[in-house]
Amino acid sequence: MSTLRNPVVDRYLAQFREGLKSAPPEERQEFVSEIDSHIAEAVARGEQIPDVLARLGPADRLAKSYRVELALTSTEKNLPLRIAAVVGLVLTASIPSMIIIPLLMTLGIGFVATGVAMIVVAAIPSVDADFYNLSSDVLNRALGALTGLGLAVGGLLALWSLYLYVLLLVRAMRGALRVGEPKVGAP
Amino acid sequence: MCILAIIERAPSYGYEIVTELSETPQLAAGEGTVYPLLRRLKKDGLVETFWRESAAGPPRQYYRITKAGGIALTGMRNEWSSLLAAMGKYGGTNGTRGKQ
Repeated sequence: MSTLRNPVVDRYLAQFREGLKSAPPEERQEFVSEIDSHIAEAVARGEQIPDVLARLGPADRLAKSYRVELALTSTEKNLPLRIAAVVGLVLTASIPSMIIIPLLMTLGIGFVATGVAMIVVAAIPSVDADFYNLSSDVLNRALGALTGLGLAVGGLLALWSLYLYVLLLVRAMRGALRVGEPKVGAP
Repeated sequence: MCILAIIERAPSYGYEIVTELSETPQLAAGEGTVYPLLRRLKKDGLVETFWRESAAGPPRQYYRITKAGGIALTGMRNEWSSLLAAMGKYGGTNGTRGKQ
């Protein structure tokens, strides 16, 4: 099996291969060939087999390093757990969402619309703008515009919190699904 | 980063990379670390591999830097330079304001 046809190297490579069961077969073959090539290269340069293997570390630990680096263990085994996480998240998030989303939306749109309308009314001289029943028309309009501005800002804040809330939901959903990481450079 | 820098100079194979890294003891990267790391770089698309026959012994798997790898390396180098500059400011040897 090994290039060197040495029983110790054979055993090492067999153990290494065994530890890589979760890797796709063709990749696994490549990993094993590469380590085999490394050992042969080192021996060809005058190194002793035990030394070479010692520096590579135990075969099962080497295989584990590959599994960790390539994240081979995390996907399929945990599938039921991930589905449970998503279902749980949807259940817990849906009840508050049914209240929070319509409430923030109504408040936001209502406040912004009222606020803008008040500012517009206050700004047009020909329209009656008796907001506070004050004797001074200028004061009435100024206070009205100020109130309108406050309402509009409050409405925008409500819409902004709605946006943040949705963002948070999406992020939590992504985390539970562990999606959104495109696979770069597949072999 | 060091692995990418070695491969950037010229396509290289595992044994060569390991030997070069072991010449710098501070990096302390043994074979058991370097090989899995190389595979990870490949998976991330930063390097690509090809097999080539060697004059003596089995074929070697060579690693070559990709365009994405080059971009990543430039980014890492910039980060390092700014980190070194920042450290120098507080008494490291690489800064300009270290000894005031």
